[in-house]
Amino acid sequence: MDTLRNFFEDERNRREKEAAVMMPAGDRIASMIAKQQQSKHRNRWIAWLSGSLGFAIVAAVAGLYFREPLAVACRWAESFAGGVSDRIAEIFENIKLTLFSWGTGISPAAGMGIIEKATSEITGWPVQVWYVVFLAAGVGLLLGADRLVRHRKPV
Amino acid sequence: MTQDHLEIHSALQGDVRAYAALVNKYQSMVFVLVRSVCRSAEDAQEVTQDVFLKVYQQLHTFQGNASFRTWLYRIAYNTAISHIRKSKTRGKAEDAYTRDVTYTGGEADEEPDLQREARYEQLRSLVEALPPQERMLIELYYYKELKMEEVAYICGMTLSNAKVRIFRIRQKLQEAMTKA
Repeated sequence: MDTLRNFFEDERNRREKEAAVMMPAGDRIASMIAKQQQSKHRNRWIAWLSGSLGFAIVAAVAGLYFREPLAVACRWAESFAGGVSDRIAEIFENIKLTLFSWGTGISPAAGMGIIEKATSEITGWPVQVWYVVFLAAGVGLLLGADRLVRHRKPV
Repeated sequence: MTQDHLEIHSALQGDVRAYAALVNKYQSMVFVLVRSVCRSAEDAQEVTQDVFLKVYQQLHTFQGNASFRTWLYRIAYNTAISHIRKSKTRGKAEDAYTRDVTYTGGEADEEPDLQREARYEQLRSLVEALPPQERMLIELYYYKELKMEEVAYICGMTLSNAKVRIFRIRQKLQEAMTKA
């Protein structure tokens, strides 16, 4: 038993003697790290530049190639955004009227209230929209529960 | 906060000089461990350098659960093992325990103990025949400054597994010694 211990201790002493004649490597390793960081930084810049340039070229070529469908898509997006902004303006108008009626006690003569408007809006949604809404809510709940479990404090 | 932690903090802030100080402090310790599986002192120096480059890259992951020394030993252990795997594929022989040019086999002024030298020679060849993981495990076991839990952590084993493996390695070495 002692033979093994003595052997390993002697071996270690022998290696310590080898290590004692080694030059301190701190500065050499520090300069290697500095060089590595410089080249990493340069490579990151090159990657960003080439990636951005590549993306710009691909986007430009795709824009030229698909200019007709792109124009159609843009027109559709424009009309969609117009519709949405009209809706939003309408909702704001309703809020304004409701607040006005609450503040003054005078009921606006025209149109439905905001709650009725919103309710009728929501009940009109197709079933697919509800699927997506419930799916998102479910995923949100699961992610929330996961986060709570992972970040629970030890008792 | 210990000096090591201060230097690690400074190194993480980008102070490479603080890291150089850490390297100077621990290079011998790492060298001594990796030398047990490297065929020459030059190889061991190369692996030591790789260890410190790797440590710098992973320094942000050091959480302070174990001491810096133990964490460093763990990286040194893994780097040395992967170095051995690579050198095996290159077909290099591992003869860390056989005497190289720089080894004189003891102090010149010491009276040579022939019987002990013969026994050590035999032990060297036995230890050399062990797989690198086992070789480093038994080395670490005989480090006075390391607790058994630290040895297990460094080798990535459970405490009970490390104990069992060390027991088997010692048994194997003792049996071989008595047979010879």
